[in-house]
Amino acid sequence: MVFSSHIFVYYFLPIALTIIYALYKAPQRWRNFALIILGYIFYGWANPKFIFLMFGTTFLDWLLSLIIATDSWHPIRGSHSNIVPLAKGPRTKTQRIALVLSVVSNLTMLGFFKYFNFGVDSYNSLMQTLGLSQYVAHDFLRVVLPLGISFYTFQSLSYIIDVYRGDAKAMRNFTDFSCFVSMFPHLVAGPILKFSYLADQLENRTLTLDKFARGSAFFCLGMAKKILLANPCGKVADTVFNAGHISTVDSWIGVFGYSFQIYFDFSGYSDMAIGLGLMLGFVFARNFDNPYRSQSITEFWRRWHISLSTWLREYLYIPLGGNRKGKVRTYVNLLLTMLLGGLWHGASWNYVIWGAIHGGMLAFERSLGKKGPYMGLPPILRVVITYIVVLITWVFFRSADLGASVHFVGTMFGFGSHAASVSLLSGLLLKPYYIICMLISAVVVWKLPDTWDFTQKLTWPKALACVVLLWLALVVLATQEYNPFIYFIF
Amino acid sequence: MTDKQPYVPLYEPNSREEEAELSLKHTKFSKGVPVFFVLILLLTILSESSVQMIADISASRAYQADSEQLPTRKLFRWVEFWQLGPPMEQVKSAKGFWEYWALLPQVSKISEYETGLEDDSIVGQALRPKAQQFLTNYLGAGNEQVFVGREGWLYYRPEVEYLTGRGFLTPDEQKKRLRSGIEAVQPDPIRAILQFQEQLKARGITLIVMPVACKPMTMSENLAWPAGMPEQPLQNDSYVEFEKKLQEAGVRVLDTTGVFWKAKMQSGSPEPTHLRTDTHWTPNVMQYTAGVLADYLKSNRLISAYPPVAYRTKQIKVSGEGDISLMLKLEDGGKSFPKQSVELQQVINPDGSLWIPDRQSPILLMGDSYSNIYSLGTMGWGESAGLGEQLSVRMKCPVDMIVINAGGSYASRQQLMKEMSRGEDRLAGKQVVIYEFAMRDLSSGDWKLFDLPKPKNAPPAAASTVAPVEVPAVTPAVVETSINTPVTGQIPAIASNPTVKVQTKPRLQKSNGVDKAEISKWPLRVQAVVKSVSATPKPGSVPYKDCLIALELSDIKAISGSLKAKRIVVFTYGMQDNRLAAASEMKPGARVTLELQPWSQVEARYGGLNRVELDDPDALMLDTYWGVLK
Repeated sequence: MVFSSHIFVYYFLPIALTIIYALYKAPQRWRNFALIILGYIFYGWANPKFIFLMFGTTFLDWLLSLIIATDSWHPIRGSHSNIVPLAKGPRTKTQRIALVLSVVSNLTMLGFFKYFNFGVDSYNSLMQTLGLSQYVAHDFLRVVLPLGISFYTFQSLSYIIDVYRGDAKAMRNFTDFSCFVSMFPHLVAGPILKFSYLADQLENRTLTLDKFARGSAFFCLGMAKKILLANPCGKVADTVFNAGHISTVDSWIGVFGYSFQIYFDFSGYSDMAIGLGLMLGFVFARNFDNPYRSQSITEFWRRWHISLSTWLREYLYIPLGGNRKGKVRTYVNLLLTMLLGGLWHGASWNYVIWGAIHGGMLAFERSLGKKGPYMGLPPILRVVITYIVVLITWVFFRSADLGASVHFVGTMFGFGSHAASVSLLSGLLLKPYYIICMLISAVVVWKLPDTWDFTQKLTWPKALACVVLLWLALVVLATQEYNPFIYFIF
Repeated sequence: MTDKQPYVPLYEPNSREEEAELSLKHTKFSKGVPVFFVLILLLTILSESSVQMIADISASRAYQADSEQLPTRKLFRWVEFWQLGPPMEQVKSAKGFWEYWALLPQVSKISEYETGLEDDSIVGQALRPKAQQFLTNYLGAGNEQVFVGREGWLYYRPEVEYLTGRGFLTPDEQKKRLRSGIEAVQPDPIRAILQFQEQLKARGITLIVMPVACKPMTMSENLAWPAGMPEQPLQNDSYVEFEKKLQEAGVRVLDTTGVFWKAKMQSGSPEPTHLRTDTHWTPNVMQYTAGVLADYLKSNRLISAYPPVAYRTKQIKVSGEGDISLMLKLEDGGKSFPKQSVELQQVINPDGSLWIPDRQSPILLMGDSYSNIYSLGTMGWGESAGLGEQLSVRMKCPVDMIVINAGGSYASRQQLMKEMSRGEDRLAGKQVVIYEFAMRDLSSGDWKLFDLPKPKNAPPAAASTVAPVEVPAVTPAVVETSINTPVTGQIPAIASNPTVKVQTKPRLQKSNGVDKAEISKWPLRVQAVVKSVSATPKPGSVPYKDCLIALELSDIKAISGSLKAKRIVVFTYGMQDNRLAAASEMKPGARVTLELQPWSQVEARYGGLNRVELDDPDALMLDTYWGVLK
């Protein structure tokens, strides 16, 4: 199920809100339990079989966290009733084994579901390249990717690592921990929540009119971003990226379209997630902060998918040594972190290259220092340069394969092949609907405040604007069959 | 914000989370805004289900009061989510983990339920046409099926994507399509055509493959930018390779792209090759193509001597609504895209009756809606004036047809396989099979492979050499006749195949193994249990407005007459005039009452409509009927 669907808006959401608010005066744990049930229905709607996978990994991580917290292989027995955060310092062998078991089981599961097909395809390509076609495994098992697996695996990992480090106390109650993993607002596409922050809210949160109102504003604007801007821009991007031949102008239109699509798609979804969280009493942190206004790639990653970049920094970059082990090691760590960040998105050489370019740029910018010649350029020029670099990386992110990416980038700079069908493609793109949507997108990206800032002070005109946008989005939703969600597959 | 309980953080929040907390604590509202937001949001999200509930109760009461007032949608679908689960009997009888595992709701059923909710939404049904009207009229936007061109021209998306997409034979595209759907797709048209060629060759029958050029190939000027007449028709990157590979394998290919282009450019000003708001060709281009085909058959002596039949033609005028404009589902119906009038040459038998296909013909035309348009009355563009009819006139001999809308890539071959497997030798006496399909199917069709029963006595192959069909330098003689004017001409060239006895009136189809003596009178009324149902396409999502679906019935009890068969397949409307019919809602296990007729009795009327077969291959062997739900 996705937020921008008929069944979610008109059926699931009213039922969910009714249940949660009916439990207004009930103990927090009851509300958590209701959220678990709702979360599993929400998740199982896409494929009921995967709820068992999520339940299994949740239970295993919960058990291992208790083993770490109690330093005992029998954590559920009565002697461990008072669980507190671990003190800083060395850990025992039991705790280390439990941590390793959790990390390995989570990553193995993630690796299997996410990279198995990629492995088989890569093997087949290698065999064909080597002329060993008889060893190609055409009909080998194809694995179906469970929704949101990358998100909830990272969240579970953050929990277990926080417990191990002593940054959080282990949850003695399975209901509370399961609620953290399966809570539907952030389940399939984040934001990736740090357990140490949400643990507090799982035990101590309130439902208030103000939270509900601001949450509603977030939801209205998120829905409008997704339906009114992301979907038409996505149509433009799909038309161009699926084409056999494109002109240079169309290639730029296509990549602009994709940059708007992915931003409004994901930030719209994050807005809706934050809004729904607020309606249910949770406070989630900001996930996007006008990323296309960044003046460098370093700044871009402080503004784009902030929950992922924060996770990567805290659980990967810093443990790798961060910037504490010299310049070269810092550059290597940056590159490695972004490479793995790329692979987190999916199993494809395109994601690896996308991560490598970003990692390379981060390292390059770091090497330039704060007073390098780049910083002497006018801010607007730095924004343009940064945006163009990001656009080029989006080509790798969006294209079907590496060859198509290289061809596309070549076309952007005038090295493409031409065919008669190019004029047909231009005719499809230059429709008033698409032109208007792209122009509005550009204004929203570079001129208007983002959702977080816009809803900081909610006046009557703003409230009316939010409601009108929501209604407009719902009317257009009724006509659109095209309603993909990019991060649904990650 | 004013939380009732004091906020006591258990752990030190980092800056992002702290920022979020602070931001929310400092949210400022104008007076009354929070209440307004809560009320509006709740009103919005509850509106749909409330309206639906009231409308369903109202429609249900109306139906109870008057059983003639059939509801136009599935009532109370929103409370039937529990039906996604397995029946209780299955749960009780399941043993072991894997049997329980198999009982989990299927993804396809969930998706179908969700789509059904959207389609049956009263609010959605009211809003959709209005919103689409605005988007189309003012912003030039189509929908998932339609591209809006200039000057009232509409284009079908898969046809445009056939041209703008990558070559359909490239390994990446083949791989992508192989894994594109829930069910496996056979994406390689060459493989399917070569298999068919071999099957026909074993019977001494010549295959002529005729991919029909789609609208954007020859009429791109109303969609492309910059506007202007292209120098040549557009084509997919893989088409040349496709044609070359077929010809190398001995398959005769009539490339209609060149034929259409010539037809378009033959006069001073370019003539449209396709209808303005419809996917199909104009009558003129269709007749021109029939002429090219007939010339080819004659000049290559592919048909043996055949006593000429004196067909007559009659000029008639029809006007029809385009299938693409119907897909837009606009509020004003056909006002934005009005009906188009065309002149047809209706073909009349020597006895004055309208032309219909003849199973005894040496020519079998297998095809899709391009062969059906102007021929099948239910398409709304006239009847007895289609490709088969025009070919018949030009050849002066009858033509047999297996033509199913949207059936280019496999449905017509599947129908042939079904009949052959049941022992009805539809290829007996055939000398030429013309296999027509829309070119878009090359990149989007499922090119299923079928095994035909091996021939008992394989005659020698009719043609040993391959002659690619060439576009004639001169315009073929288009038959120009008026009412009661007999068409006369030369007997086609004589080839070596044995002469086929002429039968001017087409006989009814053999009754599929049903002993007519057992049945006193048709139609026969029966009660039966639905064992399985084929899927119904979503109205407006396909380029045809009628679709038949198959019901497999068991536990059959005849109310009138008698029927021996224990299991039968019944075709009935799943979608009619772009609306779902009652049968589309049938579920396995339902008990139904139907009036049956042998399929052979109605084939001339319904045989050309798109049909969705059952997945079970065994069902293909069952007796087939036409049914009307009672």
